Amino acid sequence: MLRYKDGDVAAFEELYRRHNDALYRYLLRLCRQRHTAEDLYQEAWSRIIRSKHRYRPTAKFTTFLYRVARNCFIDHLRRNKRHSHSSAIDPELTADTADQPELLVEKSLARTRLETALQLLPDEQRDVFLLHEEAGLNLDAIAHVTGVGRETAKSRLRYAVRKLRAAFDDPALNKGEAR
Amino acid sequence: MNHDPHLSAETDNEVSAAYRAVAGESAPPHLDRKVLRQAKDAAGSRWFERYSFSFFRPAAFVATLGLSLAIVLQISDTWLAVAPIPVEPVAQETNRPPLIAGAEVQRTKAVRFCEAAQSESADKWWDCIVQLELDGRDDALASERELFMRTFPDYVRR
Repeated sequence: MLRYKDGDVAAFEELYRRHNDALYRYLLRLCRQRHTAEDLYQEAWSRIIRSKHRYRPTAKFTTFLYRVARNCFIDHLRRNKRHSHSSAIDPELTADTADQPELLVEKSLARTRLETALQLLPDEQRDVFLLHEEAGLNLDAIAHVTGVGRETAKSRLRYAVRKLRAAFDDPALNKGEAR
Repeated sequence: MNHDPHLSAETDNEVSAAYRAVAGESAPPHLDRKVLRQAKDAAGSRWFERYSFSFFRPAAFVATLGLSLAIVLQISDTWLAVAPIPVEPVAQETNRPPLIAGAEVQRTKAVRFCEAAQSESADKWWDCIVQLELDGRDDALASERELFMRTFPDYVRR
């Protein structure tokens, strides 16, 4: 990022390629709507680009990136308050045309199950789980990004993993309440 | 994905693996293009800002200084142009008889015959008056003599 700040576009491209897919998946699962995720994804990168002059390497770039992306999501929620707890899974999220028909069915079922299990998680737990899985952040970084204490982040992650584990072990749980 | 030892109690490899198996979406290529183009444009503008400012700032400073100087000089010239022209140096006046009042000069100017002599010395002026008397120029004589006597009331020819 510091190299990009000095005008090195190739450095930014390298940074971007390292994080683009994971950030996209994070936002996709966080807001559960593809077009919204795309908007937020673009907005997040725009903010990163615009803030390059103010960027200070006080934390890992990954932490900075996901904090910006999460703020974009929060701003989106504030603008669209109806979003909360009302969005269903985008059907496109479960589509995958690259596999064979048998695998497609199996993978599609697994994906649907995962999406359902994730959707049933409380927002804070889903957020922490995604930051852990997609961004690869440790507890301190997750706590920093989400603005909570380390123990709170730890507890949320533990609950999220436990619920997802239960959902994978017994898909019937997906039909019930996650909490 | 994460190998933080402190997370061992909170993570579940099977859950992670299951998640990774199904969550394989990539960022759409059109978004990649948009973001990278934006980054390139922003870097370009930064380059312009950096190099243009390095040139424009001193240039602007010099231009401002030059303009200020020009304005000050212009004001000075204007002031000098309207300022009164100084009178002749005092040193030249020491050889002259004392100046008579301006109104008196205006009044007598039309009938002055000894003005040139007056500017040389009192004696010359007096000689001129004597010459007027000799020439019978009574019209001019009276006024010249009156003016002379006012200017040099105690004049004695040496």
